[in-house]
Amino acid sequence: MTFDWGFVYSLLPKFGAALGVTVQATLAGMVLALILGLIWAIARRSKNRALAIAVGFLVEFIRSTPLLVQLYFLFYVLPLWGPSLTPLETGILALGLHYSAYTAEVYRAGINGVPRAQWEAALALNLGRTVTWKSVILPQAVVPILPALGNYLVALFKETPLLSAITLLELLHTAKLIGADTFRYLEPLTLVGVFFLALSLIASTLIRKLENACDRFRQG
Amino acid sequence: MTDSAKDSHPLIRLARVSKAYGAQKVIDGMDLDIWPSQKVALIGPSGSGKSTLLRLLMTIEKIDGGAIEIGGVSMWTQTEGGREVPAGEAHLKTIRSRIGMVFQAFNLFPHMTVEKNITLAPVTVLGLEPKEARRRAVELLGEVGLDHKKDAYPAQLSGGEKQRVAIARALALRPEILLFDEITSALDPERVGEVLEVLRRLANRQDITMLLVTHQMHFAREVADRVVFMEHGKVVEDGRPEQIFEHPKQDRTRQFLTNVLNY
Amino acid sequence: MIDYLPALASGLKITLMLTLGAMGVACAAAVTAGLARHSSQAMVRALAWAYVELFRGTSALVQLFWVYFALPLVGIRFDAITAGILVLGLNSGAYGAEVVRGALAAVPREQYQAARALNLSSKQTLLTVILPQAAIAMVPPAGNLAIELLKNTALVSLITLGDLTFQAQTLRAATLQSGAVFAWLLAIYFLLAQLMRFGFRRLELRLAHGRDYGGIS
Ligand SMILES: Nc1ncnc2c1ncn2[C@@H]1O[C@H](COP(=O)(O)OP(=O)(O)O)[C@@H](O)[C@H]1O
Ligand SMILES: [Mg+2]
Repeated sequence: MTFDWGFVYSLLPKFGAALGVTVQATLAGMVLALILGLIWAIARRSKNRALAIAVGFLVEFIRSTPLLVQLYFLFYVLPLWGPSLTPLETGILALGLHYSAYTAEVYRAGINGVPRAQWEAALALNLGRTVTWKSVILPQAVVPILPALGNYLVALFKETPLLSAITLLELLHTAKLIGADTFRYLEPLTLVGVFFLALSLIASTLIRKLENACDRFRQG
Repeated sequence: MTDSAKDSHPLIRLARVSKAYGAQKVIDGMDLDIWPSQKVALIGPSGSGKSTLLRLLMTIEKIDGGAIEIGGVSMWTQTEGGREVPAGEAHLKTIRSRIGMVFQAFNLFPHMTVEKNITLAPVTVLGLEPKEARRRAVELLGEVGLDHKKDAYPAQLSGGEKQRVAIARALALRPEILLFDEITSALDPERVGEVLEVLRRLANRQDITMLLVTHQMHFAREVADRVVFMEHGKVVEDGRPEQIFEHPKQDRTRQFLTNVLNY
Repeated sequence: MIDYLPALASGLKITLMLTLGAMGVACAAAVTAGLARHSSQAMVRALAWAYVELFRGTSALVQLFWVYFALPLVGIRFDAITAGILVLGLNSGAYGAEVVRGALAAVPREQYQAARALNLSSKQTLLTVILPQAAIAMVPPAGNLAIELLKNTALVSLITLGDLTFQAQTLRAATLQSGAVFAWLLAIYFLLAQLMRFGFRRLELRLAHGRDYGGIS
């Protein structure tokens, strides 16, 4: 059996809708990961020791358990408690939650990188917690970590095929269904692999550019 | 000290204040009263606790023992239903609103323009209209000779210019008390003069009480009306500049002055 | 719960087998590719680069499906556990190769010069001088990768291999106790991950003991 290009072209339309699902899951998942990660990072610095420790444990827990199992947990258990989410919503929630544990660490590094003197200057100006975080600390913390956040965006994107496990018709699931229908797995699965590979390579090139730009910003 | 001042509260009162880092006592049962509009130069060997004292006054650090009062109001306690309780954030904010500080390393916000550095606090803390805050910022920049730099970022300024912006930023909140921690130490020698010039003018203002840590004895002598020499977290000698510099009572003061002046 | 222990135990066995087997593959692949990235031959460097980018550019699940479902169609067939160990190991090894490369690059140049001054061959230099020093910098990131690997083993349940996650799925279908089953499953993975973290931490401390470059610091 050889690779059949004609078959590949005939598949492309079927992947159109799947691509839309992948893109939605990636973008919404990332927004969630960026917001939750920031909340975790700030909560871990809270003066309330119990809160800081609880959030620290939560982040460690999310980081040390498989995304697939978290996905199952949300998919099968969440409906028992009430909120009934679509598979896409469940997938977005799982991706966002899982990667928030990673972005939280990145934010933490960024926040720790802001000199203590900046906190002291903010205190001397009587700025208050909210303004200090929003106007003084976060703008300085986030720019140097943009490349690291970008890397997790790519990682999250690559992880979207996992959502096939909860029946979501994204790229990998579509490829598998085509394979089951036609008994040809080679072309659809290769197509999916090449697609992710190509986008990952492009993305990592862009992130390297961003890294250089961030370095220049820091020196400026 | 004038007679009228004696009748009122000291603006700053330290009573048996102590502060330790680990086992090291940095401020050791210190007493000090500072009266409104005094210009106090704080001198002493490195490591004697001068910066720590200013940081305690700015509420950056918390005292371990004793009490600090600002205008007769306790810094770290407040009365609630007739009882003394630890000060809350609102109380500290009120205290802090009377005090400003200028740091040795400027500590400007690097991602904001000069103007934004100055207007941020007036807008968010005092609730000034942004337009009014900007007008005030330009006025203050004029006072420190930098009105043409309002759109520059800190990285584009020389050390002396940064420090003058930092002074304008502190003044924008109209504090009664200004704390200066070796604000010329990080500057090139030829840039020191422009900052001292600004300080000299501030020293003439009756509405501002200044506490400045400096290693420039000639300058302390020129702008201060009182000199406090401290060592090991305690006041060793306290008096008028002429007295301290010309007729120090303590051997330790004389020794210190001989060392710094010969250096 | 007692009734389910045999199923969970057999799942745990598969999960551990996969983790350890893939860790072996990953180590070999990481050191080989990491060294190859520093090779003097452009061809070797390019091959190592291609391996790293290929396996980091797609997710382990896509690779697993490709090897398990697509490769047989061109006549290459693995059973599920071999496919699992191979794919998870090579996937992790690609990330490990970057760790090895970075750690090698971080060994001070003076160490190479000192080895040359002692007339060591380049192989001797690598094995006795450079790698032992680089090893200590590799341990913390390797520990993180090992935990990522453990997490990735759950993917094999999707190619019907009876690991922990697979057994849990079966239990869920049989008992309909979704909450309890998955809560236990999460707890077990968390525990395994903590054990691994602890192990790598011990290793790091042992390697770090009494180590310095014997130069001006
Ligand atoms: N945050 C800190 N942690 C530990 N020790 C400190 C800290 N800040 C200051 N110290 C110590 O306290 C002593 C007094 O410091 P400081 O107040 O800066 O002295 P000065 O400004 O008079 O030179 C020094 O020995 C210094 O090392
Ligand atoms: Mg000091």
